[in-house]
Amino acid sequence: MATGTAIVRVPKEAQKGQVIRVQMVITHPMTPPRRDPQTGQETPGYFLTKLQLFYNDQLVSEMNMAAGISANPFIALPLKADSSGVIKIVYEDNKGEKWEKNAEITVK
Amino acid sequence: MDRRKFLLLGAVAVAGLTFAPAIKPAFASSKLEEEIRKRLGVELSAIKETAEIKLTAPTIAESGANVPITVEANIPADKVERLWIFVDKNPIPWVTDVKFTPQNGQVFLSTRIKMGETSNVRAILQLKDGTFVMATKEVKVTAGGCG
Amino acid sequence: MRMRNNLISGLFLVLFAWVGFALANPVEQTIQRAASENKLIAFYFKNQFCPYCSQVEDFVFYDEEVSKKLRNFLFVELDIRSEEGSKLARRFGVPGTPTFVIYDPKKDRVVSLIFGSRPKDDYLNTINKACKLYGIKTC
Repeated sequence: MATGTAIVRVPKEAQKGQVIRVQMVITHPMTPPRRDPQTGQETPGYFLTKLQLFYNDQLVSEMNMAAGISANPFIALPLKADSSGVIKIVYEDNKGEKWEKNAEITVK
Repeated sequence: MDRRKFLLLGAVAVAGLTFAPAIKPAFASSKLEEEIRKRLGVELSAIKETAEIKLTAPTIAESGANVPITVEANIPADKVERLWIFVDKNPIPWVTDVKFTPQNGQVFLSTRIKMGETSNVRAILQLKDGTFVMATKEVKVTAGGCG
Repeated sequence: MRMRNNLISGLFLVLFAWVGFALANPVEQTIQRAASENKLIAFYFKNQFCPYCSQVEDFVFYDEEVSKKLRNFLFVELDIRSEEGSKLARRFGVPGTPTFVIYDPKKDRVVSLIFGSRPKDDYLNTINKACKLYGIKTC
């Protein structure tokens, strides 16, 4: 899959007040900075730096990261389901690319 | 050397040994201690272990490139500011940090991290009242190669 | 007459040596260069599909201390599946990847060999031992 594509899994339905898990897998190499052993010259690496979790347009959580997270990151965060709507993740990398992905939830 | 001099030397040696550990932090700051000081603004020694944080990680990791960790805390999300993850022996000990709000409902994180070698993994909770608590787990990373 | 013959033979010798050097593959050239520069060679055998190679590159070669010491050597990275790589691997007895070999080009002998994604301290010990053995002061 292309770099930056994400799979977001949430339960289709939840009870009001129930704490659910938002599970994500994002395609990204998460390459750490490297040092050339001969010249000592550093290459900056290529990795996700931030992920934001939105729930009905409200910012719920923010995760800062770098290449210490494994390639093609798997991340799961908690969310209290209060009302039906859209769960959205917005994420960016150190080259300035930004992506988003939505999932819907029905709350009874 | 006469007896008095010997006793005096002994006393000085004992005094020196007693106070030596106190001098250590100034000279022997590990990379982890420096990172924690820089990012959290506290000394590692001031952060207490707590049973309220459950840090799950394999005792022996199959692959250092992909170590699954899960953090779950009994402390309510509205009392928590941020969760920090550090790996003592990584070239950059800071791995990630997550800001929690009451809408999270709970303090929880599951992800996979990279580790260069056997090391402690630390989950540190920064609380809204300015205090810090943590849970530590050692993960053994075995060396591997491809035939 | 004799002068001219000597000159011609001399020229042929130079041509011969130059062709010999040029025909030698790049790795052989590097070995010869290291020998003439009085340097040891650090060979790094890798395989692009081996995750343990990434481990070593991310955690060992990236380390500041290791990186600084490595600059005392001539560092040669080889794909173990390439022609040159596989030939040298057989010559040195390389068991797989990642393998790090310190080689003395003048005596044509392997000084030390490390196989696998070992902790950086293992690599540091190996490098320090070689530096000590050969009296490399800047190491």
